[in-house]
Amino acid sequence: MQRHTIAISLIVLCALLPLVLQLIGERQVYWLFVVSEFFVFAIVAISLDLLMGRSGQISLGHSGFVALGAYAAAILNEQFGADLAIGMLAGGCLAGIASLILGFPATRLRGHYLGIVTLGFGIAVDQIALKWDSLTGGDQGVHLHKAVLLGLDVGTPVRMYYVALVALLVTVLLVWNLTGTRVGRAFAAIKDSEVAAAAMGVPIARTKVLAFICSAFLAGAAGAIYAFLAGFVAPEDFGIDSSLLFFAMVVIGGMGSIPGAIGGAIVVDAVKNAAATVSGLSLTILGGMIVLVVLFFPGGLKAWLRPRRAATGLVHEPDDAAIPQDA
Amino acid sequence: MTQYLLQISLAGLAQGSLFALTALGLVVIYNASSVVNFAHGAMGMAATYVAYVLITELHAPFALAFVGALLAAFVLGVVVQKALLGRLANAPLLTQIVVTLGLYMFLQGVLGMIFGYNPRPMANAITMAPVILGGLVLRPQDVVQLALLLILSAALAALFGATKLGLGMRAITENAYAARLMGIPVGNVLGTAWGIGVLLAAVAAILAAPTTSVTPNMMDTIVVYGFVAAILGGFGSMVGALVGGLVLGVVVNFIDAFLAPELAMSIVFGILLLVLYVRPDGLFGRMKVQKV
Repeated sequence: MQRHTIAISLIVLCALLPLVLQLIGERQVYWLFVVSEFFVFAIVAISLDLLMGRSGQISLGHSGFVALGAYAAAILNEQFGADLAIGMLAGGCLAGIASLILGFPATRLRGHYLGIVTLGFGIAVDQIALKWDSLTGGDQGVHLHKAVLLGLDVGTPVRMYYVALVALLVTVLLVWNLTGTRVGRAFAAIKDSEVAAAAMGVPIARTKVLAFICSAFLAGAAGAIYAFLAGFVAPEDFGIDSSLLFFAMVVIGGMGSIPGAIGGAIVVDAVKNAAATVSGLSLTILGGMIVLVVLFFPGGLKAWLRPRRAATGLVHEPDDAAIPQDA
Repeated sequence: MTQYLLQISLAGLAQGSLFALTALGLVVIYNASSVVNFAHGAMGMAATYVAYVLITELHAPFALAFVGALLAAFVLGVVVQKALLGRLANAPLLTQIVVTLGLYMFLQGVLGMIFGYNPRPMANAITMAPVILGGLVLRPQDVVQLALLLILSAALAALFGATKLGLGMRAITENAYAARLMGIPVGNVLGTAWGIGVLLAAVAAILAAPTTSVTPNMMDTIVVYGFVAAILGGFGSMVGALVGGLVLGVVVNFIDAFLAPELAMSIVFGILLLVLYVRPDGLFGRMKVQKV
């Protein structure tokens, strides 16, 4: 009951924010952009959490999926005047296909190989976007036309704000509902123990790839919204640094929880914006936070947001009478 | 034409020796503690700043600065193992990866705050002019790099083959629990392994510094190639890491010369993906059977 009240009041607050900013009347457009951008980051954080927190796989190149979605939407819009809905669909699908190519060998790999392969994917997307300038405009980037969603003009900051907010809510509902389904339970089973999951009849490879595709689709769709929000897409928005920021959001949030991922996105986004003036400061703070969270607060923000339930996720495995897990 | 190809291969071997050194360090750490150290490059980079400060601020001779930096790297490795990874020995793999990534960000941020992100020049220790041998241009620093790689590889082989410490490390790789029961001081051996691994990263970073300049992200490219070299070598095999690094260096130099240098890493990752499709345990790795 209480959690619902909190969630609904937060949504109402977010919905009223443009009005409040209008009344204050100061730097309205700037703050709208900051919060809208945060909504997009939160979608990406939730998508990465779906992969890391729920299926136990790692991605160090998630901004690569965001970049694919953003470029797909931007190029379709620039050349054919495509709608935001088409952009999101195309961006999500492109990212999903990339994750399929990436995820297939990845399912046969142990965790750290996956980390390195996804790291390389993020770098590769960046390099290709920069090099393939006939399509992507190279470092000049792609400029988008005014945003149109299903025939409606959403080209103002306030309207894009609501688009981003609704997209975030839809993402939350989708991922939240997934948890209880057969697929969601299969993800959780694989995360706990692949061997046990296989013994229970969960197709390991297919389920892992599916988790990858779902996560990449959401990230790609978020990328498409980002493209329309910024009105401009260039390679420097999607480097390895932004992959690490998404990673930090999930870890600080505490893995495997939607409120955690959103909370992590708030913390990371706030640190990033507040510490932007001193180069290196935000990396120091976030890196330090990640280490501290892992060592001392294994549940992350999630455990703090939901104190009554035992934290899961980054929790150290119970030390089964010190029997070693040799592999 | 053969001349040109040989010259490229030579440059490739020289560059590959840096990848191999990085990969060897990764493998030493991985074999001992089953952790892939994502902070590897950043730790090597931190040691390079030690050398940089010793040379520019304290006007130490290069050799002294080199030794000082390696010492710092060793201590850093031991401290990280004791303070961070040692506490997470029973934690899931994901957690251990996460903590090394946090460390990567932290080290990069701290050194960026202290020294800024502007590249700082590092003088080459060897200022001898290139030697021309049978039409090939031999740069003395390349030769030193390769020689250092061979010496360190031999030293590692001796360490693992002939010393009690090496025997302990191999025993821990085999089965840490049994090793503990046999009276091996597992904690100390793990600390030493981390020290040696980071030391190797520091050697690679300091050798790379004259070309890359000293910046907080100077090792980003090299360490990623180091990861790839280690995977190609089967992540666990020292010989694999050595050969993987050298081969990768040659491949990268051929890509630079004949394809697109801007896409070098993308192409390398394409190759890696293909290799992993066919041989998930790398070119030199033995298929590991997962025990339940």
